[in-house]
Amino acid sequence: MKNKIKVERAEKDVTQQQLADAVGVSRQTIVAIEKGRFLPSTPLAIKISRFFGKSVETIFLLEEDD
Amino acid sequence: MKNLLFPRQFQALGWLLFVPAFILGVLIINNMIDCEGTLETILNDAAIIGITIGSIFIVCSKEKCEDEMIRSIRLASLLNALYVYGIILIVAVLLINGIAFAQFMAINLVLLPLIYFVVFRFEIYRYNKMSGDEE
Repeated sequence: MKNKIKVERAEKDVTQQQLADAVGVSRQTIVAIEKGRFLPSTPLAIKISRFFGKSVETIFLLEEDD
Repeated sequence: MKNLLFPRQFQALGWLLFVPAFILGVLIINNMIDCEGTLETILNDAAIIGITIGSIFIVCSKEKCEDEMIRSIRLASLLNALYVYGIILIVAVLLINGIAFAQFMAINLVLLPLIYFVVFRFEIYRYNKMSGDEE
């Protein structure tokens, strides 16, 4: 599953730490999610999407083999 | 299903139990402690219990920032530890015989918590290194 978190952060000028603090996880978790090494849970995905004011489907993109 | 984790302070307590118990265990296995009877029993029990409880406290205490990724790492580490334990056990059963096997079986009492501890701490080390530069 791909995500556009890095793009959204750049648009909103938000650091990984700020995003991590806002959604209640560590910065390492945000790094892992951005790099596709960790799949967030549904609540966490919703929190991240709400932080950027967008829908979950806009931030997280389902791939063919998912 | 709720996961029960010990408070973070138990990690320090775990290390305090684990390190001396592990050293004691190594000394006992290598016959470097000369004692018999009740004292031998007490030392054996202290080593086994200390290693088991110590490693459980270290692994099952909350991390500094306990989030879902840490929980995922903890679960994955347990599964991987089980696989490693199974492989070691099978190899040992096939290759080790006699007195050495009895020694291995003594180590086997604490082998799973030990492997779990090593795997989990290694994964946490990799997790902490993942940060890189602030972006």
